[in-house]
Amino acid sequence: AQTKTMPNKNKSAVNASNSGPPRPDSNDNKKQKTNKKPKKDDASSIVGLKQRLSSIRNKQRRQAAYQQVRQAERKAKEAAVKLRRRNGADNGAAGPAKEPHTLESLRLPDATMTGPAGDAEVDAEEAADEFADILDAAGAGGEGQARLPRLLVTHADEVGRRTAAFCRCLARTVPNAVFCRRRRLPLGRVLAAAKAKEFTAVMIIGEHDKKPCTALLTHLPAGPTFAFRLSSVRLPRELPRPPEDDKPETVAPQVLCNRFHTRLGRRVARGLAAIFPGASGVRRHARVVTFHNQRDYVFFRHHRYILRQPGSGAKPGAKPRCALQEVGPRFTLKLRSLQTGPLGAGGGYEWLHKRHEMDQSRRRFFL
Amino acid sequence: SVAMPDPEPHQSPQLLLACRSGHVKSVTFSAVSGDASQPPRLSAVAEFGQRHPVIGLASSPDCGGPARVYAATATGLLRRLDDDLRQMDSAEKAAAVEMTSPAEVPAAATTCLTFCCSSADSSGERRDLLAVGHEDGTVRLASFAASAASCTDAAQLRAGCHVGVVRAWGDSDARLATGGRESDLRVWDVAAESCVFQAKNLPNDRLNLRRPVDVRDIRPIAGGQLLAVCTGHRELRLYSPGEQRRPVVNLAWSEYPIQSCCAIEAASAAAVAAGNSAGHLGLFDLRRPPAASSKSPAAAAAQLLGHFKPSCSGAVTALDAVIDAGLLFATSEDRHLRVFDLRGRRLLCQLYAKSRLAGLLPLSGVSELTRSSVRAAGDRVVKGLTASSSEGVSKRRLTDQLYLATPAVEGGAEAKAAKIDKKKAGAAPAAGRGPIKFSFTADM
Repeated sequence: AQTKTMPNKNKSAVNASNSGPPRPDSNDNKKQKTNKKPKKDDASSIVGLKQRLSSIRNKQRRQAAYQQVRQAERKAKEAAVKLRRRNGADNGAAGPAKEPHTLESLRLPDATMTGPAGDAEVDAEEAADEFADILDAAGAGGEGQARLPRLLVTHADEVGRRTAAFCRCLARTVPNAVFCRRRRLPLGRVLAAAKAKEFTAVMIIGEHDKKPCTALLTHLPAGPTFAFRLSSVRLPRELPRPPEDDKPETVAPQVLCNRFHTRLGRRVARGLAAIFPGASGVRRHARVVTFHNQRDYVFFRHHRYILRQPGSGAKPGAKPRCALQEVGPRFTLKLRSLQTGPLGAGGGYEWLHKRHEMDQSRRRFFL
Repeated sequence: SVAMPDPEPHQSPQLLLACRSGHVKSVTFSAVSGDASQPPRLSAVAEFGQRHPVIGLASSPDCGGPARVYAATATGLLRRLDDDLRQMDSAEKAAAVEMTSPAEVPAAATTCLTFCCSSADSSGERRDLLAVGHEDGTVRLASFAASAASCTDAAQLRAGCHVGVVRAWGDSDARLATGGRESDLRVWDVAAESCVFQAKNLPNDRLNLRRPVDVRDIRPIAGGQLLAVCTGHRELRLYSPGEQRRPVVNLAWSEYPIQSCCAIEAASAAAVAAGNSAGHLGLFDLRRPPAASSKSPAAAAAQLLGHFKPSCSGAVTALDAVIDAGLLFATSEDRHLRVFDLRGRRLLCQLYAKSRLAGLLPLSGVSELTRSSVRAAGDRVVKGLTASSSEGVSKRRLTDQLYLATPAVEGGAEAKAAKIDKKKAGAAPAAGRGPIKFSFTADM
């Protein structure tokens, strides 16, 4: 029993009798600092050293010992970087500079991602989906004319001023959009009225704690229903450089959907882009709406741009410069679920976010 | 170092998938099991075009010759597929096999398809009878001659205001079950074209409101003596048509409509797997409450045995089980086919099929599949879905074991005898439960 309760003393007694190298011992404090000088070129010994440091009971001494080890490591790393920069790729010891690891570069490959070559079957399916007659001008029922999108923006019942202001901003940003106050109307009546007045999509902004927090986008008549979580909403007056004027937008924006790789991502991108009518390419000055997907968060930005051609005094190889001004609201969307059929039809989920199952890995993304 | 054998081009596929993109795709698991196995091959067997989502597949039961496979689209097309189901080349797709469609395509969309029976008509030719359900509540019985490419309408049944599912069983006395939104379960005698059983709704709830009806899937158990039904109002029901019109078991499960179910029958035992529109899959024991025994009134008879993990990302559209191999196949709207291990309820294999899947048909080759051949295949990229997770099954206590008493329909004495045996065996937990014996092969 004595032996069990006093393991350290026993160890030191054993060590004293052995002729092996002095081992770190929590009771033998004087020996520790001399033992802890790290060997610079032996990485495995540093790892072993760190493991042994964790047995130092005294927090101040332990932290001091760790600090010494870390300083030595940092110096070794700086020396290696210096050597690498000086010698370039010829330095065999340090090697060429490596790509830093990021969550995007370490992303788990998804089977549904379409490669750069594209997929004929995916393209064929998209040419026949619910958004084809809006997005692909030639695909509308043989008539050859694209269906003009028309968005109805409304909100949950009894929302605060900020949410209503955000809804109005959205209705100003999206061409051909109309904002209507909810006025306690049941959703069934809202959708029936939207169908009757030939709206192609309805967006319902929900609120929590007086801030807009959800966006429900339904395409009509048969389109899918996207449920998003809204965050980081900034109205135009809250932008870092708010636009001075409040001119109504007359030009349809160009829509950019960046980094939507998987099938689900493509469907979301098409569903968001189908709110906007097709813009006829890049103009000299116009506006652009960007849906940028990063790590399953979709960032919405709205800019006005002016392409300035190089003047007469510029260098011969000068490219046109683009001046950007951010005008519209800013918000971030995160997809919660995608349901087939319009809202209220009770269609099954095409994708539903289940946190405990899907968020097991930090490197797995769905869009 | 054995050279990897090329996949045999005439290896018969084990499963067919009905895709909403208008394709019928076949899935072939490689015969070679082990770490050198190839991923399952997915190939298009038939193509109807993007405007014709395939919503149902049916096949005749094997009786010597190759099974005849039929596919139906939501737009009313009904077609028999090539007998050998070989992979279609692009040239073949261009010069497609003649589309067989009835003279009058019904106005309402087609929702479901099932194979009723096969009979020899007066000239000695084999004719297959298929039941096709439509959204307006009609069920069309279409008759296909073995040699001819077109079908003729044999009869039309009116089965309520909407038909979402049709299932048939029996050969000489073929029965057809239908159900849909606000049209409760009906069982028809196919030959006589008359309704022999119509389910009755449950009594009004405690607010005295009528309980809504939405039958999503029907599966016969014990040769049609019991019918398992899953509803869009989050209930799993067991009907016994020989006994009463109301369900004998009504189990509430899940927050989402239950879209599909499948019966897992072993020798004198039965369980039901069901999937809802959010992708959750559960295994259920729909055993009826013991009639006489009131010794443990607190123990509910019908219950959820457990969920299949991980669940599908989207709605489960079709389920099928191969009891001998212990496999459950699930297709879902998230474009994946998933194969689960029945005993441990773990995912074995996940296959991306590029198109939203609406139906599933196991072919005769599916009985040769084993868990190990399926486990080594498929694309699984999420950490944790490795083979080791399913190897832990044998070490885990088999908590999903149950004894299922033979239904009282077959004779009360047998049920009582079975219960007494269980008590002697000291089965745990209370209410006389014990392991359900699925007859897995030794490979498991």
